Amino acid sequence: MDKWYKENPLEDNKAVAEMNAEIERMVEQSTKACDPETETDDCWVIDLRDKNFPSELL
Amino acid sequence: MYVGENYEQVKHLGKGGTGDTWAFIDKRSGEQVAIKFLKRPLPKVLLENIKREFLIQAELGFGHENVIKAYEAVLTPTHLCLVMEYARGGSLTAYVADKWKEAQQRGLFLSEDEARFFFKQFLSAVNYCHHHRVVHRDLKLDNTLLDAATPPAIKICDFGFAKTWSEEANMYTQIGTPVYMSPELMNQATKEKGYDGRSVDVWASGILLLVMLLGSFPFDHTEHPDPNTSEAHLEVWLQQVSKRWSEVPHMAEAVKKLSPEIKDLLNRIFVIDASKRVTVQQIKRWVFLNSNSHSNSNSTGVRRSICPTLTRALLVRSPGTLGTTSRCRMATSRSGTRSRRSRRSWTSGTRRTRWRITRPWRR
Repeated sequence: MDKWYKENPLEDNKAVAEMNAEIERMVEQSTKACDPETETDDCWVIDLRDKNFPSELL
Repeated sequence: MYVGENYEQVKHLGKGGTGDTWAFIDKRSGEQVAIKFLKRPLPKVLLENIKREFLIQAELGFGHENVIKAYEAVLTPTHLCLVMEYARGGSLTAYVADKWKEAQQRGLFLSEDEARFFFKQFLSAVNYCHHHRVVHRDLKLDNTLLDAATPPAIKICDFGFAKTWSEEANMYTQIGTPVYMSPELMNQATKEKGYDGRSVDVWASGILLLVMLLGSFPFDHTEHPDPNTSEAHLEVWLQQVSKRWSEVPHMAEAVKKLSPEIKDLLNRIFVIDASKRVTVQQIKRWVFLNSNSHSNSNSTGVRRSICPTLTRALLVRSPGTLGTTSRCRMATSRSGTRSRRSRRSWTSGTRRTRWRITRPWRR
């Protein structure tokens, strides 16, 4: 397990890092009240379905 | 409640420490989902916890059948929402409480076979979390849901207190639900030495198993009902360090109803020294979990009445409040880094890291 993590560090995986960063941005945004000047009534949605671990780790 | 045009509100499911959970229908699939609503603006003090919960839930949910799946994170003008799998069977607390009549007849709330069935699933999910360097830290019956299948599958939920670790598992925050918390978590010295989050989950797993069977907590804070007080923590800790779980007065009679196999397992779980406590991996190999029949003395069919004090956990506390979560910060974790993660599709075996943001806000 540790070996797998060492061989697959997060920083090497740009897309995963971006997705995590996007979730973090969303949560940080939620600490502010909605600003009608910059935000529409629409929702900001992040699909989480693709965040899977490989089966060999199960 | 509004989560975008894809969801239609059905009913209120429950109120948690940070927000409410509602059942919705996903109009695209026709399936029911559970949506946790956190009101904006979120208190900044909760920022890191909620970030962690969303990230952990997103990463763990789709990898294991016994962990609640997270579908979407949604930010609306009024709320931050987490769209999750809906477990129709309710909580394990309610399921066990409904076994009151059976408990009067056989002396156990769930039979050892049924408890084994649930506990195996539960352990598998906990093992999966630990494998991915996530400790839950609030494992309990309330956070263990059931689906609508017969027999039901369990689903671990609420990763609000969960944490990842990088190189070392040691943590420093005193967190959890007192009746499920391990001695090292209760001990004030923890803020100096830290604790291994995996051992904390093992202890809580043992409590969960025992409550499934006997309907009672071995270590409780009856003198100090408010779980958020240091007095309640001290009361539980004093019981833990002064008596073995099977020698606590209100447990002594009930313990006789357990089979030797299960007592053996619990003896290895309720070990004060966390370094000598069994691991989840070791429990999975234990005789109790791998036997289809056991030498339970109750199988003689003798009608037994259960000890009245044993039912306090399930009768005095309503199902929604069984083991109220307490959070008592001693120090922040010294391990602030998230675990290293990478993903690939487990269906294709090839690395797949696509991500998608639909209908983004205009910013």
